[in-house]
Formats: sequence, C-alpha cells, structure tokens
Amino acid sequence: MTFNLYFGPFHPALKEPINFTFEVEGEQIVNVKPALGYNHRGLEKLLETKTWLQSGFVAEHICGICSGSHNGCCYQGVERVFGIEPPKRGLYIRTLVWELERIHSHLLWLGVMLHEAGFDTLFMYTWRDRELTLDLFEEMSGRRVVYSMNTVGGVRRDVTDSFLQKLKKYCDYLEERTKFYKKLVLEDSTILARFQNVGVLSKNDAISLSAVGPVARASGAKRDVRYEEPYAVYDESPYQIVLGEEGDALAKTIVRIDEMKVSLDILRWIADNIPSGDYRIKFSPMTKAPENEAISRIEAPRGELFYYFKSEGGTTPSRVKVRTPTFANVLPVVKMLEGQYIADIPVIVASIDPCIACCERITIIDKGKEGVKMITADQLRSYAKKWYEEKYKVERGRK
Amino acid sequence: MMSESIKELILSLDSNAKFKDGKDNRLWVAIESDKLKIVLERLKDKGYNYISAISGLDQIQNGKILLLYHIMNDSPREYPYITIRIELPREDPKVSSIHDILPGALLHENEVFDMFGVNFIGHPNLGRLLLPENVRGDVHPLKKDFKDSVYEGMKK
Repeated sequence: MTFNLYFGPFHPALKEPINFTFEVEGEQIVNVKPALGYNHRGLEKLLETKTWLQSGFVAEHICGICSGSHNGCCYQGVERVFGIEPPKRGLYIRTLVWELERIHSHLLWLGVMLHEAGFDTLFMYTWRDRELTLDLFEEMSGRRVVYSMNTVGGVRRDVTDSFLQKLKKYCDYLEERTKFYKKLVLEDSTILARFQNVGVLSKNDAISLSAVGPVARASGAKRDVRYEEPYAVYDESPYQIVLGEEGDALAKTIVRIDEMKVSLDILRWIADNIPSGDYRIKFSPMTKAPENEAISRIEAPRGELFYYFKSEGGTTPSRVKVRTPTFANVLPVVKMLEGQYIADIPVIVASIDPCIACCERITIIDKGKEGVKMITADQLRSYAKKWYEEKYKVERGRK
Repeated sequence: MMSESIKELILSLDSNAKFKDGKDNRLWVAIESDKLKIVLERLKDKGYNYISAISGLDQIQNGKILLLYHIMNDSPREYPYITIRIELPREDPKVSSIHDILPGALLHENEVFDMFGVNFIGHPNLGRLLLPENVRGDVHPLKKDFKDSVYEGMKK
C-alpha cells in the first residue's frame, strides 16, 4: 500500500518553490511527480516590452544567486543579435564576475547541503567565506547581490588595480578553505554516511535526461558550456573540466568543491593578465536591431543557461526564450529520488543545487486513516537525523 | 566531410529542408513538421542526444507558430549544435511528441503547450506546467494576441 507525501512548494524567500508528490511505500519512494510554476512571473512576456538595453536589468532579476550569469548571458545574446564584439577588457571583467559568482554560489550551496545533513556549524563556516565574495562584489559594483555589471558591448564599471590585489589575496585565502572543506567532506564519517551512494544518477541517465551542470559532471557526463563552446575568454584561460564518477551526493559535493578551485585559478589568471584599454563600447538605448535571431549559452553555477533572441527589427525583441539550469535538472532529480528513503529527500533535492525550495512545509496524507499531518522542514531534518541514528545503532548492534 | 553528411542525412529524409549556417558552428534547419520525429531519431543515432530547449515563436502576421528544437552533440563535430525549425498552423497547432526519442524534452513540451497551446500528440501528461491548473480555456500568454484574460480564465 502506498501513501502520498506532498513536498513543497514553499518557502519562496529562500529558494524557488517547487512541489513534489512522492508515492511512498513504507520508507521507500516509489514514484515522484514534480509540479512547477509557483514562482512563475511571466518574465519572458515582460522582456518583449523592454528595449535591448533594458532587457538585462530584467533578466538579472530572474535569479538572485546567479544574477550576474543571467545579466551577462542576456547581453551576450543581444550582442550576437547586433553583431557587436565587446572589447577584450570588458570580456575579462565579465568572466571575473561569472567566476566570482560561481564561487559564491557553490559556497552557498555547500552550506545548505551540509545544513540539510545536520551540520549547522559548517553552514556558518561556508557562509562566512561566502561573505568575502559578497564584499568583493560590493567593492566592484556597489552592490552585493544584483550587481548589474554587464551592458551591451562590455561592462558598466571598470576594476581598479587595488581591487585586483585584493582579489589575489582572497584567492589565496579561499584556496586553503576549499582544501579544508574537501578534506572534511572526504574524512568525516557522518558526512560520508549521509552522502555516499545517496541519490545516484548514472551516466546514461544523465545523458538521456539532458542533465546539466555539476549534476551531469558528477555522473561523468562532459556537459559544460565552457568546455563545449568557450565563450568570452575561457578559451585562453586555465580552465579545466571537473568530472566525477559515482554520481551520488558525495560526487556532486566534490565536483563543486573542485570547481571552486578551478574558478580560483581562473580568477588569479585574470588578475595577472587583464589587458588595459576600453571596457565597453558606446551603445545608444533606442538603437533598432537588425532582423536577426541569436542563441546565447553560458555555464551558470548550476549548469547551462540558455537564451534565445528573435528580433524583427525593432527597439525591443519580439521573443526571448530563457531556459534555466534547474528546469533541465528537474527530470534528473526525479530519477534520483526513485527508490530512495524519505529521510534522504532533503539531501537529494539539495544535491542538484535547486534554485527551488521545498522544505518549509510538508503534508503527509495517510490514505488509510484519511488524516492530514503537517510537518516542517526542521521536523523532517530531525526525523532524518533520528532515522539515521537508529539505523546505525541497529547495524552496530549486529556487529 | 562530416558536415556534408549531416546535411545530406537531413536532405535524404526531407528533400525540402532549408539550411542556414549560423555563427558558433550552429546549423539552422527548417523541415516539415511531419518529418520531425524521423529526423531527430536519425540525428540521435549520430550522437545528438541533448536537448537544450524548445522555443516557440508566434508569427501572427503569417498565421504560423514556429517551434525551434535546440539539440546538441557531445562529441566534437563540424556542427555540434543544430536548431530544427518547424512550422505549424496557428489554428489548432499539432505535432507529435518527441519524449520517446529525447526524454529530456518532456517538460519543455509541457511548457510550450502552456505558453502557445501546441498540442503534442503522444505526450503522457500534457497539461499546465507553469500556469496554475485552474487557468482554463484557450489561455496561452506568449501568443501575440494574448490579453490579460488570464484573470477571467482563473475565475471558476
């Protein structure tokens, strides 16, 4: 006999809301149905009414964590519609924003992931390190979260030499921290128990379900836009693809920690090699676009971000299509959840780095008793902790 | 060499296919909508197993809805990216679902149905994805003639 377990859709303030309906049999998940749309704001329709220059400012509000990626990807597409090539220094600064953002996003995710497994002290540690990234953003752009750094034909602000010196110091500090996190994740027996062989996505499934980003790479699939189609200055940079093998929650964690290290290498390289010169070209706000269409893809922290622009020769685009990475990772996470335990739901859902949130309210409907029981995310977390404690006690007892 | 074979392959399946070489090694192909499935199936055999997105375009002036399938090949090729374009009539647009060839397309098809009202034949669960379930009738917000009727549609 199966029960339905409703998971989500709120809390919207923390991450994007999504709803999963789990069909569970005892402790095991038999079937999963995702339901999206709780945060649909009609931004694609709104973008049709904005001029080419305004579009990026709307786009960066699609996501609070990877706002720089949306902003940059959007303007990269606009540049392809117009046939504009930004100056080299502009592209370097753009790449700098993207890589800083990747570190900030991965640190944020690492904290959330460890928090889901019950490690609240580590959550504080990673978020303290993330704070340094936000300070750098503040110094660079004047804002900590939605930086509006990019524009059509370059970036809106230059970086100073003193900023680049600070960036190097930051890289040295964070390199030590990433080593510490990697050692910790690989050595702590509790983390291993919670992450190893949990939420496995096989390489074949990752490829056939079109998984993107670190989720695909942790399973060994070479899916990285920086690798496939080097944009901006990635073809010159010391970028290396990071691949995992197992495809479980642990592999996803290690891939992301290693990626932070690659990002730090790229940042150091940018600080050393950034060329002088213009950082933007002039672009008049009411310029009419040629009749054209263009596709812009970048590797956002969570995976491939996809923009399609259609121009019919006006001051506004006639169609903008946005495909965000989490949308592509919904089907893979459904696959990962099948056959897993209820206690592992928080870790598995967090392991795709969802720009979705679920865990603030869960309803358990017991079909047999026709009763409705509500539990909060905290209750589910402590339930998971207890469940694991019991499980290991039993196993230890057997020994 | 390789690029010719991809173009030839598509031409052998649909003799009216039109090609456009885009920037960044992207090939734009316009084919007949009833040839979509066989073309995708043959391309998948060649390694095009990743679908980025399906984007719809409402061309109200021609009375057409265009669907663009953006697919990709992992292994290096002359054309790693292909965008397949099909045209559907604006009144009652119908096309067969491709989820059995590319399972990753499932949610994209739901989204296109939601926003453009395209009916995907053979889709296991074709319904609203991003709009609320209680939006009824012919409400598809990314169509060019859409007015704020969504609120009327939501009234029960």
